[in-house]
Amino acid sequence: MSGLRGAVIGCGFFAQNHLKAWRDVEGARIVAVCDLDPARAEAAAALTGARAHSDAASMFAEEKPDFVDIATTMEIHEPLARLAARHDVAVICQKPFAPDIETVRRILGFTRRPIMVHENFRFQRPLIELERHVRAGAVGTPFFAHISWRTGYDVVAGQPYLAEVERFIILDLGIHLLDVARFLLGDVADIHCRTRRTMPGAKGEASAVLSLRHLSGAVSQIVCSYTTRIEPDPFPQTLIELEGDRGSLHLRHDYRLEHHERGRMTVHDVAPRPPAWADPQWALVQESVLNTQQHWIDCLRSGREPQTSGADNLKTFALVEAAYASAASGRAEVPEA
Amino acid sequence: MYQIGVVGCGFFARNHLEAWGGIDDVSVVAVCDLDPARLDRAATRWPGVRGYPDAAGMLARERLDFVDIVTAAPSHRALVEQVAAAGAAVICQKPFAPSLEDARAMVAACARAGVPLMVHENFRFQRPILELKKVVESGRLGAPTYARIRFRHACDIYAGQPYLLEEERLAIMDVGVHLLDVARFLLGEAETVFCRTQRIDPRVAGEDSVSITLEHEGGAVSLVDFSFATIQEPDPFPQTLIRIEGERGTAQLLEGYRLEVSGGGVPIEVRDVEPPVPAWGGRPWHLIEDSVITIQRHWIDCLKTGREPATSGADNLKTLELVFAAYDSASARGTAHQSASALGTASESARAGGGA
Ligand SMILES: NC(=O)c1ccc[n+]([C@@H]2O[C@H](COP(=O)([O-])OP(=O)(O)OC[C@H]3O[C@@H](n4cnc5c(N)ncnc54)[C@H](O)[C@@H]3O)[C@@H](O)[C@H]2O)c1
Ligand SMILES: NC(=O)c1ccc[n+]([C@@H]2O[C@H](COP(=O)([O-])OP(=O)(O)OC[C@H]3O[C@@H](n4cnc5c(N)ncnc54)[C@H](O)[C@@H]3O)[C@@H](O)[C@H]2O)c1
Repeated sequence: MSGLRGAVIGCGFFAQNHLKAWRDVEGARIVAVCDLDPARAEAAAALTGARAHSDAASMFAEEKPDFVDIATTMEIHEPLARLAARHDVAVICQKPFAPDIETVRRILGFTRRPIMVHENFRFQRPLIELERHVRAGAVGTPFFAHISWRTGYDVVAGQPYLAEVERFIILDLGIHLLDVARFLLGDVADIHCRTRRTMPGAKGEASAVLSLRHLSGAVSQIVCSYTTRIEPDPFPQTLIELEGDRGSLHLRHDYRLEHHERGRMTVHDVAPRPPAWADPQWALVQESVLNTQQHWIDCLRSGREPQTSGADNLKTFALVEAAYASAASGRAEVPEA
Repeated sequence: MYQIGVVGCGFFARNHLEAWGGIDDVSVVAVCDLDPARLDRAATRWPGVRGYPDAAGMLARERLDFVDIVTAAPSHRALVEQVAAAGAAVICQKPFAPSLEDARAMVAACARAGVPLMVHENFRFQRPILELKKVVESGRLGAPTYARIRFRHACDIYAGQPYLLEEERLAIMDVGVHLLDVARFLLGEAETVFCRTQRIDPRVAGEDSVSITLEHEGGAVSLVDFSFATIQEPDPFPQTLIRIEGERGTAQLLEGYRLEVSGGGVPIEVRDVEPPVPAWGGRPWHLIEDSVITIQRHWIDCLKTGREPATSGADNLKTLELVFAAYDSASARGTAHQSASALGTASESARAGGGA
């Protein structure tokens, strides 16, 4: 087998999707997997046929991979990215890129090789299709979007560390939606945000209401919650209304994309086309992981900048910081990338 | 039998007059309008009702229990003060006033004269919204945490109300006022207001797309967003679509008058909350027409029992405070971040002086 040689660091909850997806990515293969927990590394090795490691430094030295996929939680991204830089290895790194924007800037400062953030929402099939319609002029000039992600799904069960963080839903989930807002409507002039601690037992905010003004003049609303009680629960779907001067696009529950024009409404099926290994409940997410990783490899091979490159993700991260600043100040805040 | 005088026989007054025609114990005895053609039209539809070219003449000659004012906001203060001075009770259309100063003066004038005053704030009397309120009050959702109140359409409202094209304060004054009142009705008083406005249709002078964030006393956060430039097929006009979440469940007012309540482990409940179509009305206006009947009945009930109307002048001051706080918020940052886009005036700002 030819192609790029990759290594995965962090073989926990979400990395299972990365590992399975790497088997289907064209142009790359995983030669090494690494986790502090040897049992997790062994399980990942069994899944991929790669060699198991428990120490990242020695893994870099021994394997000399072309790229590394960092799938640990955010606190460890900087030291691992530094290690990768020292070994001159390209990096794809899970979101959130870092706990704060200072760290993101430091990572970008010492990184010389390509670096991409695994910001996978915009690689979900429904969002790819939605953006494609917008670009094709389906709504004319966009002026408004309402982006909603509200669920009662117990995220803390799979990711117990989330109950402990001071910055909860905006940094964990809102970051994806802020990226989607940029993807659909472009960069942001300022942001207003109100947060609520609605989950008993969680330290941080479990719901947030954001209002953005984009540089184009468009306005978007982002609403997210982990404490919504509703049936059917749309988890993990993002529901969107996007309006322009010539029409609207509504991304509805169960992957219906409605295109509204004067006198006419057309429905497109934008359901994910999940890989064979996908679990039906996670098909949307799992397909997006595969799409994200394929995009990374395509970019590495062609020398293009990935859509969600480190530099691009700094702009998304600046929105997260502005949102928290606004939640504290009560005023609209200007993102500083 | 209550004797009623109606001031203003324009576009919307028809609904008032038809509604009064179907309510017991009331009789419209006089109408007035500055425009003789409109007065003629009303006289033809309601033979026996005396027509006057102005309110002063009508008040001098008629013995009225109350006057129903169906003119635009700039004329309200002079009319309300005249009616109160004549000792008659007052119903006044929304928007109550173009400024808080006018609104407070009208409330004070009616208080001094000892006459009841109600603002014809009819959205909260729409059947679907009354039904939604019952769900909230039943406690089934738990304490409200979040709401979105949405009124977006592209219906040509300018055909029937051409004066709207010229309004520098358009959508917040015209429909935002209703929706902010609904937000208060469903979630309690608002403590902060943040607002962004846009002008999308090049024909209009004012804002025609608006997004407002409110924080309510009980802790809930609500989004109130509305637009006159939103293309949807079919167009939901004039329905307000609402989602309210509480700690235990969610209620949604969906297109086609569907009220869905879910969460809390109880089976999802779907109800049809479409209002009846009055004999004199028709779809899709029946939603509004029925609410006019309901608010006017409410007024008569209050007159009979001596209760304060739900949308009394004093109550409506709180709604108007939100309206002006929204405008302040939208202009507080001025055009500092104005883009060169064809979208024009996207103005927005930090929290303004606040509602409450
Ligand atoms: N993009 C998405 O849709 C999505 C979804 C869920 C989680 N995530 C992100 O994925 C990241 C990981 O989350 P998770 O829930 O899988 O966490 P996890 O705790 O389950 O897994 C992290 C793993 O990394 C290992 N690890 C930590 N430090 C290491 C080191 N120095 N060397 C080697 N291994 C190390 C841990 O032992 C653990 O097995 C988080 O940043 C989270 O936000 C993304
Ligand atoms: N509650 C609702 O659902 C709703 C819907 C539409 C309009 N409205 C409100 O109703 C009010 C009237 O709107 P419209 O569309 O009927 O306007 P309109 O211009 O069609 O009618 C107003 C009428 O009042 C007359 N008038 C003005 N000043 C007068 C005065 N001093 N004395 C006598 N007559 C006078 C005018 O000649 C005109 O005929 C507005 O404030 C509007 O916001 C409410």
